[in-house]
This record gives sequence, structure tokens and C-alpha cells, in this order.
Amino acid sequence: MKPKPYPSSMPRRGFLALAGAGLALAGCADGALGDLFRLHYRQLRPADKRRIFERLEREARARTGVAVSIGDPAPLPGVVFAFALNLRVCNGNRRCVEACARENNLPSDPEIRYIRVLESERGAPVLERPNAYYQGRVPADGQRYLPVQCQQCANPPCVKVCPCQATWQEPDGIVVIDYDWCIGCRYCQAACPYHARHFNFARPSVEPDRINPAQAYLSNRLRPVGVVEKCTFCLQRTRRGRYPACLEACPTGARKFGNLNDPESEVRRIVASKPVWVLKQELGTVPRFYYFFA
Amino acid sequence: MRTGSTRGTSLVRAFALGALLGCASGLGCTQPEPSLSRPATSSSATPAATVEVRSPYWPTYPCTQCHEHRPGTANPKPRELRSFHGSRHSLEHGSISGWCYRCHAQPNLDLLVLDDGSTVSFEQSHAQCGSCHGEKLADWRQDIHGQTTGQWNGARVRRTCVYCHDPHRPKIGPMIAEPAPALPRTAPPTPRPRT
Repeated sequence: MKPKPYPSSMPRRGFLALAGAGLALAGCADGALGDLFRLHYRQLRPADKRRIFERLEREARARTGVAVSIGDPAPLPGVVFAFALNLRVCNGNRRCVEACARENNLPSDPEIRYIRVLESERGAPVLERPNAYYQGRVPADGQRYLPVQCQQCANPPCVKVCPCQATWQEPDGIVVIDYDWCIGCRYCQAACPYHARHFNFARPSVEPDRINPAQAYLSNRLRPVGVVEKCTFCLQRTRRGRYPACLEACPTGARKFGNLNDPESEVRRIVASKPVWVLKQELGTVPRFYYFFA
Repeated sequence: MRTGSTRGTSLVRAFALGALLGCASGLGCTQPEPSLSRPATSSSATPAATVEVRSPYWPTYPCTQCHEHRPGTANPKPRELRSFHGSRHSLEHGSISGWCYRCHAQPNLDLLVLDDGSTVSFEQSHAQCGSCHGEKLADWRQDIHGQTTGQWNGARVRRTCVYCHDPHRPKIGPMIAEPAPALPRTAPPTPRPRT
């Protein structure tokens, strides 16, 4: 049977010509449609970045009514960040979790929290049967607490599996994500052995009065739906010399942060003088998050 | 290139391995590799930081606004003193509980006394704590113990001991934890019981 011909009012060539013209116009247009054809973050010029950030600021303003400012602090030369955590004093109070949520504009419904505190019985192998859902008075009798977040591994499996290079490791050791490049395949979430990556199944929304307006493009700006996010060692703070929000909130002084290349830094001194260990060392991820007892 | 003190070459090799792995991923990082040779002298200087003294002081400070310079107790033997100020001056501090003059100087109650008999002001109270807790003081001077705020690469502000520890009841008590994370949507409504 002879197949029905295409309607003559829209021949194939005409349709392709129309679509091509439309795409070309969109490429020239300013706005989200125009940025669909932009280059990777690492190839952008400062003027391009500034244009993109201004568009994102406008969109955030329109969506939430809050005047945010999106910056792009560069990695400091010669700096490699590391975290050290004193497990003898951590009592599982979760102030770090809440401070991180506040600083990084994490949504509550559905909930995303970069830090998970694992409670396990003292004396047992630490991660055999942890409980992340404890409540009430801490520390509970006979329990030990272990906060886990992105370890900013020196040999990150998440970076290796990303099919589009939306995530990469910066010179200062922080593994970052370009939320506008991420396609949401969640390979990185599957590859991470520490369950440190979180996916936005729904459009994340934060109460306008809880939004932190001091944002950075690669860290705590308001994310779109369908992208992966994770702890970035608060690069919007740490690349400007400040301590991460979780450290400042910790009431027991368990968290220590600094530059591994600086002999005066507390993390360097901890790694040099205290017995430290890392999680899942046998996997060879070389985490930059050290645990110690002191 | 600055080198710091290291405890063993195996640890330094771990640093070098970490640096090499970071560079081998081809991302163009240029951090200097640590030296593999042991330095001649180890750096024992404490990093520069301003010590943030706890403020405000006790509302009853200075003590001499109410108490005259007392000549001190007639009996210098360490023993439990019955407190006649009520619970405000009670003392639960390990083996010195009850003996106020282990830390408070006599006759000048506006000073603290160290174990060698010398006195320090309340602004140097960390020296007082460190006279028994030397290991903690050494850690505190390197920002390993306690709370440090400010700039990690510049002006650090190190909080003094009494910022967190009440000297008369120094053990940090229990707290109520912030709420637990939300259960996954497919989880049963009750949290997983402890096993």
C-alpha cells in the first residue's frame, strides 16, 4: 500500500529551514535559551560569566523576591583544602547539619542535607550498623557519632563517571558541579562510596527569609530541578579566607579546616602529629577528610 | 618552599601520593610536592592568633568589689570547703572539687594561681587550665582543641578555655540534637529501631 505523502503545506525541507532559523535566533538571544549554546564553564571568558551570573540573579529575584549576588571566587594558589574531625568530642548534636542547610540554601521539601551524622555503638566497627535517624538527648549512652559529607577525594570516582564533565576537581581540591551543565543522569551519585551526592527530584524551594544571598556559581546558588549537588567545603566562604559554616556552628570544636600545604595550619598539624584515618580507604579514593581522636 | 615537621617518611609519601594522584587526573593542579627529606629543625612555633577572652566576665567580677583582700585561710591543706555562697560557687572539677584555692589566689581574689605559686590574671586563664591539662593546652595553642574562628589563612581568633568550659563545672553537658533527617519516601513511617 502506498504510504501517505507528507502534507504539502509543510514539506520536510521547509520544516528544517524553519527550525534552523529558530535555533539561530535563539542562539543570538539573551537569556536561558541563548545560554543553551554556551561553552563549558572552564572555557568561559569573564564577560560571559558575568552575563550568566546576572541572568541567574535576575531569575532568582523574580522567583523569590530576594536580591542575591552570585560570585565566582577563584581557587587560591598553592592551597589544598582538608577537613579534620575530632571524634572524641563530636556528640552528634547536628548543629553542623542545620548551619550547612542555612548557608547553602538547601531545600526542606524534599529534604536535602549535605551532612549526615551516623550514630553507632562504641566499640563496634564504626560503619557496620549506623543509625542516621537518632533523636533527642546526645550523646546517648555508649554511642559514638560520625559526621559524613563529601570527602573531596583526591582520586574522585564521581568525576570519572560523569558523561558530560559537569563535575570536576578544582586545583584547591574541591570537587565542584556546574548545575547548568549537569544532565541529571546520577552516575556520580551511584559512583560515590560515601553517599555524599544528592539529587533534586523536585524543584528545590527555600523560604525567602531563609535564603542566604551571598552565593557562588559553583556552590550555594539556588539549584534547578534535576541536578546533583553536594558539599563544596563552603567555597563561597573558604576561598575568601573564612571557615566553613559547619565548623563555625559546631559547639564542641570537633571540626578543623585549613590548607594542607601550610605548616602552620591546624589540619596539617593534625595529620602530622595525630593518628588519623579515612573512610573506605581500601577503595583508593584518597579522601581529604580525616578523622582523629584527640 | 616551606616544609613542616613530619613524623615519618611514610606519612610524607602519603602526601606525595595524594598530590601525584591529584595531578595525574590531568586537571592542571600545581601544588608543590612536599619534600621527602626530614628537615633539620622542626617547626614548633604556634600559629599567630588573637585569643578571644570570654566576655562578659562573671557579673561578680572583680571579687574585691565585695570582698576585701582576705589574708587567706589559716589552714592551707587542700580539703573540701563548705561553700557558704550557695550553688553559685560550688565546684565539680575532678580531684580538686571543693578546694577553691587550688585555682584562686590568696589573698588577692582577682588573680589565679598556678601550681608553682605564681599568679596570673583572669585574662590568662588558659595558662591556669594548662598547668594541669598540658596536653590540651598544647593542642589548643595549635588550634587542634577548642574553637577557632576568624580567617583560616590570616587573623585567627582562638577562643579561650572558659568560652566553652565553665571552670567550676567544666564537663560539657548533654544537648538536644537537631531534628533527624527526613525518612525516604518509600520508608515505613517509623524509624528503624536500634538493633
